Amino acid sequence: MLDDESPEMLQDLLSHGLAITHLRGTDDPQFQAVADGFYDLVLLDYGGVGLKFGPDEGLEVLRFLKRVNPGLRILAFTARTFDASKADFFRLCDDVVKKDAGIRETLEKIEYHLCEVLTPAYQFDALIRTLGVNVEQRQEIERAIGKSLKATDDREKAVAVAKKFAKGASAKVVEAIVLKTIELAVTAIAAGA
Amino acid sequence: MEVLEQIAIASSPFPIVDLTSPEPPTSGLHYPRTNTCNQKFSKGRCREFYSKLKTDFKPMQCPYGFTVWPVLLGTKPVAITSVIASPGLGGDAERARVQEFPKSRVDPARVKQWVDAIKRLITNGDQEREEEFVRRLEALHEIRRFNQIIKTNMERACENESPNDLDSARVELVRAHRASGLISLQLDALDLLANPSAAMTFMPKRRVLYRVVDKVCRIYRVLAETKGVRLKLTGYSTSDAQLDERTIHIIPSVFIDNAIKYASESETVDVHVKDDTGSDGAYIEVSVQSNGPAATEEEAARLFRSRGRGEGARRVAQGSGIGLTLAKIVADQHHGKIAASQRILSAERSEWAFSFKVPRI
Repeated sequence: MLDDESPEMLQDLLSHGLAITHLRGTDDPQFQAVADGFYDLVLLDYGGVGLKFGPDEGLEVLRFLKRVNPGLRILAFTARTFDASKADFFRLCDDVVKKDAGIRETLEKIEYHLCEVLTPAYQFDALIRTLGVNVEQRQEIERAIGKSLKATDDREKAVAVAKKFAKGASAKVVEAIVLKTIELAVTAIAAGA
Repeated sequence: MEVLEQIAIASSPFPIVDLTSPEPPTSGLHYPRTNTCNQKFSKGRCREFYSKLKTDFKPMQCPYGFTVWPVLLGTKPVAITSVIASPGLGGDAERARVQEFPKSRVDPARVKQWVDAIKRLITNGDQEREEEFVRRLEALHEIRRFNQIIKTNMERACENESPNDLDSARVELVRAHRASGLISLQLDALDLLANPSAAMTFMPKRRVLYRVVDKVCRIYRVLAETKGVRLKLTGYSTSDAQLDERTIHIIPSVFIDNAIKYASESETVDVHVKDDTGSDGAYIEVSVQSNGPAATEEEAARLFRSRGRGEGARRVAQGSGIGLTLAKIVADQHHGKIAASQRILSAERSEWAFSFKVPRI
């Protein structure tokens, strides 16, 4: 949650079992973890969160995060739902949560998006988008991840294969997404999905 | 047209033609429209000439020899005309006009001076309005921030008493919680009113419309109870539609808000949701039926088109008269259809049905 104010419902969301870190701005050292793919979803306010990113603050932060980690779900968390000058911000965000949405509605939206994001297919697709690889490279990564599902030792190999194609993409983001894909796939297999 | 542009045209020292729909020039305060314009305009050449002008402020001659300056005042394309520039552009027609209307000769520098002054005035006015608009918008956002505190705390209080069904908590808590929901809905409407063009940035998501209507009904139930009106939700639909969650609730909110406002005590407001198929394909329909003040045919025809309320509605309750206009904006945004019909019950009362149809996925 990237918001310069303290959201009233933060404690309630935590008590519903969500692991949330509240950052007041991009100056917070923890912000790097957001960019590195440590989080699955970001609630992003527009104003007062990223002055160093430029005058458009939230929009600039959004563009940055989407560039380094295209799979990250970003929900606009703001009191300004129809500000014409912020049109790009709302258009580029994956959804909008109004600040006065209430606990249940906010939870519902977060859970809806987490359900979509926390699947091996979504994460694998995010990895491919991050790397921008061709069909053969994609198949190589797919095979490496497939092997790692059977042997824990192969996880590092899968990460190494993906990193090999990283080019401009952040190695940390690539590693985070590969490991997330493997974890989710293992969980899905265990659950009999 | 903007007010400043209207004032500029009405108080222009020179005759002016509105280029969006050319008619004979309006007389200027210092230079009246000449008889030539009175006589010749209806013949058709003038209308054709003015409808082709580009607003680049280059002086030119009209078909009858008058000097014309086409110009953009704010957003309004107009032409200063029915005068003769001195020094002129030349030609027999111009010479004839100079002889006929010697008092209509004008120094082009004075024309430019007036146009520049008006343009400056309009620009400054726009800036002031923009600043005022931002100030008002900021106030709305502040209210939303406060409402966040109210809603979260009331939700918490309701959940403590009745974790499975918030509406079964103590009535005072439920009313306060739902009142906060009402504030949210009203703020959304105000927000949209302040930025109607922003609604055109359509952000559709696949969602179940019934859930939106159900939520709005729960919020308005408090208001209905206060007024002694029964609010009933019937029908069901699990169908998805492409909905913009920032705006879609405004349609049922406006329908239900109006219905409760204009219903008499112990009457029923019937909200119905159904799936159906028409000539345009499958759709979901939300309809709200209730009794309210009768409207004249003319009033009914402009329900969604312009801000304002009918005579009967004004007598019964207070209101801004903007709700249905907003509902229409949202309906258009969703490529949906919005409609209203009334069945006259008496001289003063009608049975009203408001409906919204949106394509079903």
